Amino acid sequence: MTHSNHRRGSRESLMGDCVVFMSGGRRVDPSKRAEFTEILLKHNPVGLSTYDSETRRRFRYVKGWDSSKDSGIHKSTTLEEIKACKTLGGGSAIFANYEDVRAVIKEIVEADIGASVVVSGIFDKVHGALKEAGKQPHTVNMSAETFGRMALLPEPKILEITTMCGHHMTSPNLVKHLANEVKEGRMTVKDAAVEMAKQCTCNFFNVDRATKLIKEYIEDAHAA
Amino acid sequence: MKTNDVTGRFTNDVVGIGLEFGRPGIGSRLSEPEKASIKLAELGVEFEPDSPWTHIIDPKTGKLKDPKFGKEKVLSCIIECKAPIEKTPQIYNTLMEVAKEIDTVFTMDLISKCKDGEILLKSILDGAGIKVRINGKTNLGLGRPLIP
Repeated sequence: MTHSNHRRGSRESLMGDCVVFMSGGRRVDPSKRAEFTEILLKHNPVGLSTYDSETRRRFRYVKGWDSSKDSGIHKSTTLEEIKACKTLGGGSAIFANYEDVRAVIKEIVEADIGASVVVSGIFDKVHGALKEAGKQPHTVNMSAETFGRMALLPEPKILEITTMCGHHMTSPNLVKHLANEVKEGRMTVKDAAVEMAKQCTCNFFNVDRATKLIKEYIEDAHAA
Repeated sequence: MKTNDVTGRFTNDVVGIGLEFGRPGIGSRLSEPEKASIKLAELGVEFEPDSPWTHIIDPKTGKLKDPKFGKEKVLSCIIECKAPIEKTPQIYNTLMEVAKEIDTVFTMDLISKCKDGEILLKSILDGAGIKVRINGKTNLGLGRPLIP
């Protein structure tokens, strides 16, 4: 669902969730692509995806995901490994607060990257940060809700988690299963969030926010 | 819209519309987006030439080129089109009627350019009582235009 346009939740919850990425970066100088990713790396991302432009190896960093949790095609990378790469490509990152997003936008504007940069987040916060950096938004994509047979959809709290992967690779049934594992004490909530994040191969799933939402889901279910 | 600062695909007087059939997470037969596609064609929208959906329909009628495609099940199918910005309420209301007839869900994207920090479509949406979420995607306008 475009990969980041329809993330659901309250304003308070969405304040901890913002995605920044480069689009159409093939047209720009490779050094500028690397500079963009280096800026993302500096500001505490909770998730980051990039690649080595020479070997084409893809890097996926998710906070809390180490190699012991790798499975199948899902291979983790540490921030240190990414920082050590001398030929970084462009990338994307998720941030858990708007102080970091403001700093990222300011530095990206100053760096004069020359590529399209898209930020998916609360409009007034993103546009405010951009204005502080001396720029105005160019184009927006707004989410005008979901329509049709709404009864087919899972409950709202599950959707808040699963829509963090716009392609919906994190399934509602996986979320329910992992929440139950946490509730039964067989898994930590952070490990459950990492397992959900691994499914989102665009690497846009916010583990920090998911951790909070899983706890809320378990509490809501318990209260019910 | 992600590269609109470079391509200039969406201009000030245009709304971009994306209808993501089957999302979130339900899937769809291709016969479902066809119901919307036919209505959109009647309203005179311009289907995005590079969109996969446009390749399997007749853009004049919105109908599938081959009716048997309608039975195909997909995880998602996105209709992408654009129209004059003032037509947005009419298109939206038509799609609300389509929503009553479909056997899945669809999620709607509304794309608009900004001017002096304001979203050009917002006043039209507010005037028509169309609600959008507080969050979405913003193209920061940092790309180099192909045609300056």
